[in-house]
Amino acid sequence: MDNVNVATAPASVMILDDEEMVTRSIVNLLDMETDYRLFPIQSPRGALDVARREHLDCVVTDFMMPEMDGLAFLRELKQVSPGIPSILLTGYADKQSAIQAINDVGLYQYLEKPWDNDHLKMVIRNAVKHRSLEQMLSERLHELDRAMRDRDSFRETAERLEAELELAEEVQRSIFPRGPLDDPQFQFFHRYYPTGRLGGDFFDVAMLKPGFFNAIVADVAGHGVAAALGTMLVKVVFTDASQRGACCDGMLAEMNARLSKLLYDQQYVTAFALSINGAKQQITAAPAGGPHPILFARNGDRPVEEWALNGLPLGAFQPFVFRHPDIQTRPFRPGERILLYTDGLLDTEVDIGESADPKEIVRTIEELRHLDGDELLDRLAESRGIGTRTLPDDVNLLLIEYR
Amino acid sequence: MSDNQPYVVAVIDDEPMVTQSIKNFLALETDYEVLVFNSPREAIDSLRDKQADVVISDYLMPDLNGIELFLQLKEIQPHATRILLTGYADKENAIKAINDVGLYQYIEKPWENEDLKLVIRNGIEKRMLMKRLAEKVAELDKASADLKGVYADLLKAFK
Repeated sequence: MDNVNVATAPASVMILDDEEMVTRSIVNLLDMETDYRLFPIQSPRGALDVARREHLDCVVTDFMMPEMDGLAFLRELKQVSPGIPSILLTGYADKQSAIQAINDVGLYQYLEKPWDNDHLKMVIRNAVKHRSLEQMLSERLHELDRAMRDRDSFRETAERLEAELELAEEVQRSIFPRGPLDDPQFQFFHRYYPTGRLGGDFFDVAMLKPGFFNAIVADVAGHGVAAALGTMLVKVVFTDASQRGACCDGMLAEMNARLSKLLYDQQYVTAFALSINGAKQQITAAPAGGPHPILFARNGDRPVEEWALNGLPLGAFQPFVFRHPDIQTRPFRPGERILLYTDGLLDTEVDIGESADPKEIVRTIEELRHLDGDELLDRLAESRGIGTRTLPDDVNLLLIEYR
Repeated sequence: MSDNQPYVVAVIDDEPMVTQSIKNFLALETDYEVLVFNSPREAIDSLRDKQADVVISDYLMPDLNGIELFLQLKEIQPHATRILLTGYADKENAIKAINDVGLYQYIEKPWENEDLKLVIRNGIEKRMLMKRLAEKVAELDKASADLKGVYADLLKAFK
């Protein structure tokens, strides 16, 4: 019948008539057939007191009463408790007065005596429902108001945070090397695929002196803002160490000592660093828990291989625990290339929590080895599904080629 | 006035004298748009295309009685307020049917025009209250969905 649920608490109905017989008969009628809370009363003044105390949903009142007539009563009621629907029981004679006053006192309906009990019941029921609908509407309007205001203030906050995030992104980008890294001997190619706005991946190349470089690809544990802040620190300690001419294990030891003091409690950095000596045509690895880089050459005369060296992550262990990692130096000659990457590359194609085997990367490089640096990196990314789906983790690729 | 359109009251009675007198009375004292029908079937056909706010019908009609008419109208226009004009004898039928046909009120003949006017007014108010309530609930749903959306966007940025 109605598609809106009406309040379930029983309604309160007051019945006012100076004749007790009348109030009693109406009470009996309603008592038997409804669950209303009933307030029968003979005195208009008493009725006003009740109205002050109780939350009434409907008032039925006689017109002709000695103390004050029904309309006068309803006018006073409107002052005490506006909005209660009222039903006036009128005699034939006073019906006209009732009609005139309908709007003054907000009369819901009048019933001429003798009234029909079924009719009275029906009118009271409608009056109660009317009141309930008005209250629900009023509540909804308040709720709506509140919801709108919440939404607006939320949106404001979101916009502010959005602006700050954009700024943070810019700042983070600024710590990556700017512009192409070029050198007569070596070529550097780089790709960065972040998963969110801010990430924990980092790479850098620092020239110690002409022909002598430190390169690092690192991943600060965690995601988002905290990890991004960590990359700032990695940048600082890497740059400082390189400027002092440190390389290889010395550089790692210095970075670890400073990062274990600077980084937030739970944070650590996995990385793989290299020192490239152009004069001696040598490359030295300084592993710190990051994925093994891949060594290969454009042509087929050297196999594609993983440089499988392991080391402790940076920033996790106090200096006296930090051991010298497996340092290895090997030749690095013209035509040869090395690829460093963060472990996001291994996570791209599989379900979260699983990691691909690095051998898959080796196999892919075997196919792409002869390509130019930029194309190689793009095809590598494509082969791992980058660009076609959301990444579970940031991906950083650094390719160094001895021209 | 709902959106500056007058409220629409439909009156159905097989006796043209009755429908005309109600129409005249309402024209004099209200701004309602009044549609009159002397055949229930004609009323049903017209009301398929025209939304009424209140529908008043006689009970005793040769073709279709008022309750049967309202049963059909309830399907076509569930939100209109339905008022039945009954004679003393058929009042019992009206009372029984209150829930079946979703009858707002019955008015016993002979009725007072002032009373009729009041009942129509309350019937319109009820319809408008329900309508606004449904609108507000829909708006609340939307605001709530918006809120969820903004919240989700916020979370994404801090993944």
